[in-house]
Amino acid sequence: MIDSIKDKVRELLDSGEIKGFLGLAEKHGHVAPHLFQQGEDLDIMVLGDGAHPGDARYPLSKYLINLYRAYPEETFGILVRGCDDRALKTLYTWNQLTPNKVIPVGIACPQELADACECSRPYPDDITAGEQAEPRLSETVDTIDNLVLTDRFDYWMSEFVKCIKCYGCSNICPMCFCNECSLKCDDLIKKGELPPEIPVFHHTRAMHMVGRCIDCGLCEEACPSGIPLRTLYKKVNTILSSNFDFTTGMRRGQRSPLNSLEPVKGNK
Amino acid sequence: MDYRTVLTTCTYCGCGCNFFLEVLDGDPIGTIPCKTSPVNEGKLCIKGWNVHEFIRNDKRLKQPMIRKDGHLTEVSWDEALAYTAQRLKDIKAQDGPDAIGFLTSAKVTNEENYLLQKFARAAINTNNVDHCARL
Amino acid sequence: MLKFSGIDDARLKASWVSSAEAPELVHEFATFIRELRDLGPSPLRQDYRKELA
Repeated sequence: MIDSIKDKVRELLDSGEIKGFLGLAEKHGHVAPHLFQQGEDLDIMVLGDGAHPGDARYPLSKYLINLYRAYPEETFGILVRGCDDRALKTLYTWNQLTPNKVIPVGIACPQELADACECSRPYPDDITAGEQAEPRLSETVDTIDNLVLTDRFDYWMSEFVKCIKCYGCSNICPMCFCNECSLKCDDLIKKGELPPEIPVFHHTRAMHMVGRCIDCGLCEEACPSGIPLRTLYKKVNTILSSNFDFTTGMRRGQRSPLNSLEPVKGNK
Repeated sequence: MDYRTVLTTCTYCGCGCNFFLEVLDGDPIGTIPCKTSPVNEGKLCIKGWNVHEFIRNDKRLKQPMIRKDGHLTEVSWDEALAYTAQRLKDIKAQDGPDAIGFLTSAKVTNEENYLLQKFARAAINTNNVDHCARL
Repeated sequence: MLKFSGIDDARLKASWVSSAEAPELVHEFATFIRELRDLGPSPLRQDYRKELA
C-alpha cells in the first residue's frame, strides 16, 4: 500500500510538479509530520499506522496552511485520508488554501479505522492506495439521544467538568484558523476559571463547528481529559445534514448553509 | 525552504511530554504533540501547547546576571561561576553549610538534578535541596 | 443542541414581535415567564465545579 504512495510522490517530486510533499515519516521511533523535498529518500515514509490503523494521524492540512502562507506561489503535495480530503475542500471554501497549489495523494482507510471513527466517507475522491471501506453511521450520537433528558444533562456535565481549558481541541483542529477566537474572548468566556464555564465553553465551540467540522476526530484524541468531543460535533453535523441536507467537505465549493443568504432546501 | 518537525521534550514540568516543534526557515511556528509518545499520547496541557512562543521571547535571559550596585548586569559565564563559587565558600565559612540551600529545576535533566543534589550534600554538606516540580 | 445536552428546549424561545405590537410583546413575556416557572429552576444553576473539588 505504501509503495504505490511512494511511487506517486517520487514521480511528483521528480517532475518538479510539487515543491514538497507533506506526509508522515518515522523519526526517532515516532511517527512525525514531515515535508519530503526533492531528491530526498522516501524510505522513512509511513502512513501513521501503529498498533491500530491510523492511530498516529496528524492534521496535515493545518500545517499545509502554514506552508501556504509562507510560500503562496509554491505547489505542495499532501497525504490525505477521507477526513483530510473533506478538510481540504472546506479550507478551499474558506479561502485558506488554493486548490491549484495543492496536490492530494489519497489513501482509503481500512474498515477497522472506518468503524472506529464511525466515518461517513472513509476515503478521499482520488484513491492512490487502499480499498474503499464501508461508511458507518454514528451510534454514539444515537446512544446519547436515547437517554432521558436529565441523564443526558448529567452525562454531559460530568464530562465537561473535566475540562482543563488546554485549548488542545482548537489547537489540533484543522478547521481552527481564525485570528480572533471566541473561546479566548474575555467577554464570552471568563478568564482564570477552571473548569471554564460549562457547558457554555463547549457549546460555543460546538456552534463554531457548524459548517467547519469535517469529523476527523483529532480533537477527541488530543483531549487530555477524554471528553467525547467528537460525539458532540457529530451531533452538530447530524443536525446540519438532516435540516439543511449539508455535509461539511463533501462537495467542492459548497458553502455552509449558515454562511449563505440564499434560501436553503430542507425540511425546516 | 526549510520545514522541519523537531522531536523534543517539554521543558515546563517533570512529566516529560514529547512533541514536535514545527520549524519553518529556522523559526519555531507551532507545537505538535507526539501521538506515538507513551508519555502524553498526543495530548498536551496549555503550557505545552504554547512552548514554541517562549523560545524567541525578548524577555528571555540569555546571559548570567550579577547584581552590581543595585542593578542586574550581564556578565560572562566565567565571572558568574567564579563569583558564585567564592560566595558559596564565604557563606559556608562564615555561617556553616546549612545557611545555603539549593533549588533545582524541572527544566534540566534527571542527571543534572542528581548532580546538583550530589554537589549540595558532598561538596557543601547540606541537605537543603528542593525542586520546583515538587508542587 | 440544547436537547442533546440534556437541557429542556422549552427554556429557550424565539418570537417575532413588531415594535408596533406592545400588547403582543407583553403577552409573550408573561406566557414565557409562566412556562419557565412551571419548569422550575434550571439545572444549570447547580455548581458542578464544586462537586469536582
